[in-house]
Amino acid sequence: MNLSCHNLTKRFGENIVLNDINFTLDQPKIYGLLGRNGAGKTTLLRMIANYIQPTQGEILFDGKSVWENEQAQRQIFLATESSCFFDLNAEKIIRIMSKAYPNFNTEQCLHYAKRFELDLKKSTTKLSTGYKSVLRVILALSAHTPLLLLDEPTLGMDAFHRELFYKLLIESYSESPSCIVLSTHLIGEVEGLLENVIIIDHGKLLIDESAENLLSQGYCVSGKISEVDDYCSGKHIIGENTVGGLKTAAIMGTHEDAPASLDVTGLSLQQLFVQLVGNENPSEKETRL
Amino acid sequence: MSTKTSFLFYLNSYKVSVSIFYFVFLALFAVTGIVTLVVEPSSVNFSGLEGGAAVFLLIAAMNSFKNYFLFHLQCGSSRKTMFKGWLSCAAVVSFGMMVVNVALISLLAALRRPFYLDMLSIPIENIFLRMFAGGINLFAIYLLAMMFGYLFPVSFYRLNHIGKWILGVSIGGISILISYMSAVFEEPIMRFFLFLSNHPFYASAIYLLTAAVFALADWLLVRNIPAKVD
Repeated sequence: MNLSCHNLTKRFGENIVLNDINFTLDQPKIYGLLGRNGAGKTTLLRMIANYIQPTQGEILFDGKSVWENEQAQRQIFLATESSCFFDLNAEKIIRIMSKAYPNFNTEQCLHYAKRFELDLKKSTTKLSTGYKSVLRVILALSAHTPLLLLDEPTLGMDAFHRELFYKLLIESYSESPSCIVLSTHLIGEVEGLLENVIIIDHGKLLIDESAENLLSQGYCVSGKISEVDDYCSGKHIIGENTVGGLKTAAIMGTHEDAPASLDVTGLSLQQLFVQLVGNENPSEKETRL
Repeated sequence: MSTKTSFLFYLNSYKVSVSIFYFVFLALFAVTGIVTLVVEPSSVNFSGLEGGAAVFLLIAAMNSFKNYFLFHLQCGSSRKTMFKGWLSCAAVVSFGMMVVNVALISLLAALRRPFYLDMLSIPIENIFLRMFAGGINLFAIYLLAMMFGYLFPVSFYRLNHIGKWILGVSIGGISILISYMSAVFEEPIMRFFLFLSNHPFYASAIYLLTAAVFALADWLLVRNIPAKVD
């Protein structure tokens, strides 16, 4: 499986949603597609899944355009908030999906439904937001497509269901590794799952690298306020938090020996993400990177 | 989703609405039949099966796009497969309803009740040829109604807010214009419809040709249609 986006641009009228995006997905990995609201994540996923056409550029799946390419689309599953299932119940949808996707595992899907306590007889229009998400993710995990696109998969799910979903995602990935693109705002929850991180901001591709590399670019120190301030002097601070007499600072750059009185930990993806996309002016980010 | 699955999916979704249509028709037929037993039969009139079915199919086709489109995309189908599925379903539903209607009309004719049915007034002496001509005519009308009906949701889906207003006003304007023009050109229009009713095979050919033109327009609009999600 190889999916490559070349000079991808999408405009809606005067509004440029995606601007000259280039990246390739060719390894069975879990990719995190991150970005603020309106960054262009959903638009990108919809273009890959044949929902909309790019204004410029192309998306190739194994060397062929994905647009109206049914052979490619049968190997891509998009689970999105806007997935439409009429007023059918889950049972009927599962039956149709088993005909639509060649590797769809009906038994596994029914097993997942049982674990999530999803009512298979209930019309999808009568399901709660959380259970609609449950239906989408169990279909996605059972489709066994080489490319799985999950757009806000845990929308409306309670904590128990979110945990269960992450567990099943790991199980499914371990059993049959595929390329999974996970687009979410709950960065803290998925941080441990992601192998690669793609960050889009204001329609531009900001980051496309391994989570390990990305997080090794910074670190956190915590301790007494005065000691942290002394240590941080002259360093590139990307975030600070003070509670009582203790302070935590996130620092970009190579880790230097810190005094024994300070605790040194790794940077969290969320801290890094907030710093990278937290500015209103995108041009400033490019210079910072 | 293959074309076959798409076709079966469309067909399955028509099952309920078509059943309701015939249930309503048979209920009305039963009521009319009872009424003719107690009142003077000449004062009772029952008609509209053929026309009613055409209007039903027009409206059904108007509701056969948006959700189906999004569902097909969810199932990894192309627009082409969806359209082929829809086209096959429209042809089968039109044919099926024609067969059922011809059967019902034959039954009503045998009952010799005061029903007015267009097919029975076709000027062909041989009853079998008359039913055959009427059947082809009905099929062509039903197919035309479905192809025309499908054009509305697809056009409105493609257009932006201003475009929808322009199209909506244009449809209203054209309707008013047609009603005005029909008064001005009453004689040639009447002659044309008289020709159609006297020549059911020509009429069928014209309807089928028009249905093909609408089907082509439907496809031209569908083939690159972007998915708009609320």
